[in-house]
Amino acid sequence: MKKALLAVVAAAFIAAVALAQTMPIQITTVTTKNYQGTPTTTFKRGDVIIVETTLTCPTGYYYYAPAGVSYLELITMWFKNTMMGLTLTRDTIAPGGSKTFGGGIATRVGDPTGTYTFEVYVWNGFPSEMGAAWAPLASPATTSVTVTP
Amino acid sequence: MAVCLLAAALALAVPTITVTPSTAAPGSIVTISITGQDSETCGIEIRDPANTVIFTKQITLSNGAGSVQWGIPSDARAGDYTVYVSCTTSGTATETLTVTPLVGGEVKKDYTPFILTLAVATIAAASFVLLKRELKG
Repeated sequence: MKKALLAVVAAAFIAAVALAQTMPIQITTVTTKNYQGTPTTTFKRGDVIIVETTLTCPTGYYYYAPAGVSYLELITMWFKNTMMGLTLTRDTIAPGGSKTFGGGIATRVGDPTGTYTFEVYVWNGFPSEMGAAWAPLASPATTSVTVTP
Repeated sequence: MAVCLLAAALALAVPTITVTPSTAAPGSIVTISITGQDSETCGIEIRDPANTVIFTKQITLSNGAGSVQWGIPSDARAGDYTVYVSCTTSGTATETLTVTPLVGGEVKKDYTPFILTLAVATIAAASFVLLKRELKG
């Protein structure tokens, strides 16, 4: 009886540790679309690039955050080392649920042509807001597009 | 005792940020180097003098160190920019980066059209005088 109880406690502990080490949110899809809503990875300078992301929260997090996980989602657009644009949202996701966010970032006619990279971050807030309590809530996701003249 | 010392050391630890160069012009690249703990994750945020977010990045340190580069946009406003770094283990720290205004080039007036016009007019006048003398003679 004691052995069985010990095994259950150990299994629960291992499961809790494993769950705690994973991120509470997963970025499942990152898709770039044109203004008409058609998925594409080629744009012209001056176009608005719409980036649509889907986030999910595993059901197992119900025990940690039954009310859901509040997050800040950042979609950043990069050309080499320069951040060309940013769009963000703040929301809450329930365990077992999913959220879709589509943000548009405009390119300018004078912008450089070439490969633009989008990086998606999910944090509990900005470092300037959270200080030492800052934490990432999902592994980052990236995608690239080509911008032509 | 050892656990208490370790906890105290972790509590006192803060990431170290170095911005190189600490003063830069629009269009140049600065490097933000972070020293923290092992393979912790850090979030980096830069705000311009108007407190607008203009840079966000997430990195994972390798052996307690990592760096990112920021290409300062050519239209970046001059002034003090604040670099915020928060790491999952070592805590938070800030640093200041100064962006200097772009210095315009020297403006030189082009006198070529004026000189050309003057030369053509002189040649025409001289030709007219010579022609007149020849006709009189």
